[in-house]
Amino acid sequence: MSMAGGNMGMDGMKHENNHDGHNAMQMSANSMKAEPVKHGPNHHGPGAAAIANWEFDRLDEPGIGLGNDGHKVLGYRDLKSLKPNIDNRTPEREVELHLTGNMERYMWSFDGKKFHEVKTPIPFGYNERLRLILVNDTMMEHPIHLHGMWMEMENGHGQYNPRKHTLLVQPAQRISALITPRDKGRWAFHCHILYHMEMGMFRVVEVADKKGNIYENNDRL
Amino acid sequence: MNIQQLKLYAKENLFFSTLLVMLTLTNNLAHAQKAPPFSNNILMDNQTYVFFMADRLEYNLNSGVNPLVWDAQGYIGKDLSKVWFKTEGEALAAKTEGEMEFQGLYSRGITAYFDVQAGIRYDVAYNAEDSQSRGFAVIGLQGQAPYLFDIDGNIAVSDAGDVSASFEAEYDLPITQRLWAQPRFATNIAIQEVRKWGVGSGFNNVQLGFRLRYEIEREFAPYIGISWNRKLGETADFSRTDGGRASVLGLVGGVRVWF
Repeated sequence: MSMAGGNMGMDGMKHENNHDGHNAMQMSANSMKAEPVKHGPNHHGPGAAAIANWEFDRLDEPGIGLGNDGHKVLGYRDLKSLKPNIDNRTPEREVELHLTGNMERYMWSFDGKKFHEVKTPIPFGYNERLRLILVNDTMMEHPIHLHGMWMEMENGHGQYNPRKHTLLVQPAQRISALITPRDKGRWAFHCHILYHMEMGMFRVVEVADKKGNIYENNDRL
Repeated sequence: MNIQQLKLYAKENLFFSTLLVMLTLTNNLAHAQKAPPFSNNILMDNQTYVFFMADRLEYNLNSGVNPLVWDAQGYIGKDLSKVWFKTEGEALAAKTEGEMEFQGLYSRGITAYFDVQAGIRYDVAYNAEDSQSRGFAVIGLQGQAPYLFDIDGNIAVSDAGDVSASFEAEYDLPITQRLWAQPRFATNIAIQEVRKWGVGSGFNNVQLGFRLRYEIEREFAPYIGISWNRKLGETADFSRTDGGRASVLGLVGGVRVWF
């Protein structure tokens, strides 16, 4: 899977996307904005009517239908935590999920798979540091809610990245958050448009220690 | 006695070693409770849907005989896997004469907008003196082409080995929230001539229609329109020989219903 590197920067900067497009999440020198990432081959199947050919940062954009009336509209870039986040580790791994849907068939899913089609929960390690990446391949906004742990949304404020439990993902947006799962168990992860959730845009995140235990919280960070 | 002493002692004593194993197992069970089996059956995302629509249910007023025409379909199934029924036909109100087709298909969603459908088709034609029927194996594609054209095309092989194809396209154009214009195009093609069924080799006919419907409810919409059916080539010759006409232009009125 080649991510078509090259000179795709909005600010004209030379930017090489690596194998998985990870370093596209890094900020360019003179802007907080992440470079657009090319979508890989579409394996989402008939449950996804579209993909975002390019996945954009969009954190400065106020959202569909907003910002055209002369007022400043606050966006995700403006959110900043008052206190620094306590976990400074760099993420050991990344989990990437694509928001997919087909309005005509009325199917909603992650990665083209409705909840009943997946056989296992999404595994999160207890006290690990991970990066969750969400890519919206649909043409509408989806508020994605992760229960049981904070998402430190990567909007360029470093240690002061805001902690959120719901990320409103704009169409064709690539958004990421750093997570330290501190409570074991099975947690719901879903689109908060509840009729999308009920149609399959739902997952279970399982926070377990290395032994597979999901019950007690020992050696809490 | 601490664990170390117990281990030492157990080396010499089978009874104690068994006891130690049991203790260890019990100990582990108490502290390493595993997760219960994962269930993905907690939502409403794998339902069976039932749908039926009579897209055309109309009376055709023309200068010849005036038939009642229907074109209905429905399905039962999951998102991407359905059993699909279709029926289309016409029957004269004034006298005993008509022809109709029924299809029973398995429909599988293969792309975002298209289903591949395969199954059987059964045709019946009758008049006061006689009736005839024939069966087909059918394979086709149904779905939405770019710009939201509703497309339905299939290839059929009859029980006598005759190969034919049909193609239909419709478009729903909103004029207001409730008033819709619906242009429609349909054509049939046959490889072999089948005289008994009035089918010639090549293009059999072209149908053009234009209907204006008013959705009193979305599920109940009366309409008026025009429908033009032009038989072509050999098929037209057969029709003329049998005392029919090759071209019929009719005023149609009917209702589109679904649930």
